[in-house]
Amino acid sequence: MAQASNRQPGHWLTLQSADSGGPWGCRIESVGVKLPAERLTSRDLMSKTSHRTHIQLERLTGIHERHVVGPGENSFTLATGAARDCLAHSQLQASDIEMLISTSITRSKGRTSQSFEPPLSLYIKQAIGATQAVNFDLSNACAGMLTGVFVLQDLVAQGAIKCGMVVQVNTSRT
Amino acid sequence: MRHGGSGEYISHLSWNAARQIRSLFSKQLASLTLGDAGAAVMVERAPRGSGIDVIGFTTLAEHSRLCLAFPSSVGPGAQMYTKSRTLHRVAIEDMAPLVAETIAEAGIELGDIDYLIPHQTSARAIRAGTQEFVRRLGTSPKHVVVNLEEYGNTSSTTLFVALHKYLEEQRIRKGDRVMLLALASGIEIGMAIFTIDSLVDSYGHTH
Repeated sequence: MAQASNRQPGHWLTLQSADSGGPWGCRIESVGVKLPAERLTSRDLMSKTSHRTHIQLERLTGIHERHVVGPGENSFTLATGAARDCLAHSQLQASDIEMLISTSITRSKGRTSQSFEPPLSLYIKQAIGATQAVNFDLSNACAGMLTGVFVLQDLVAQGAIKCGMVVQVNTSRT
Repeated sequence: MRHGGSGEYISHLSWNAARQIRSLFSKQLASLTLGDAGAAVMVERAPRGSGIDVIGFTTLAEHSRLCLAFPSSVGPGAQMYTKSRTLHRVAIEDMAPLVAETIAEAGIELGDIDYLIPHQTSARAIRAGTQEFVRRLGTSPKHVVVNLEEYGNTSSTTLFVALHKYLEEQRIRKGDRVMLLALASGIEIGMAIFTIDSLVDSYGHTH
């Protein structure tokens, strides 16, 4: 990151700002989401523990339910659905995307529990028709998606690209 | 593999945890909070001085053993071990000065943030964290977003799932200042501050 500040005493983060020196700014243009249809309540999940736990999960965490992938759904289908929703809210076309980054921790596709190579970003790119995009996967746990934006922000601010997309999916049922 | 009769796959990370967990103090408790989601975000070139105000990252590697995930030993899929209480304590402790640094870089105060969207782990942890930031920084963000009730912890999509929902519901409006706060195993901490612009125009028409 050419314009990023190095970590110095009293300076804890690698920060980039609108005033970091690049010739351009970088804005968030659209956001898309794809949620699986199936839901699982905390009550149902805790009713299936092997041991009698006495854990009141909903009271403890505030989680009433969560969406969970069903048959036919996987990392690839959710990622592609989210990318398409993002394009549906965008003024841009898939062909405008110059860089597509997948930051998914899970990479299930088809009947494969984990597809390691080629990267998931390639399949997403092909599915949405982002024919001009350079693509790669980037892994940074639960901070992955913001890390992707961090990388794109610098490239956009420097003028290397005009438009990029980050896609992330979490399917805990791998 | 399917879970008896109910159609759920037993390879789910939460199911692996459910099979092994014995008490509130289990290190697999956090596995029970996970939910599935996909999210995408498009960024584009904007005039200099507009768009994302500040974006930053740091790694607190001394705490890297507090959250570990790897293939399950009891079945297909993964399992995750988290020392949740310690993780939340150190995250809140170490995040406060980082939040201060980020908002200072943006030239604002915490009270100028209209919507703080933190990583979603538990409602209690988010409340405790926010209280600590407010105590140290003197002002409070106008809204702190919690969407755990219907989504659980959807990993790094949480920030954008929340942003998307608030845009669709037209709760976030043009001119609002949003702060995203990522927290991950590592410990990875990421922050971004931006002001909502014409982004909002594409949302909310379905309601």
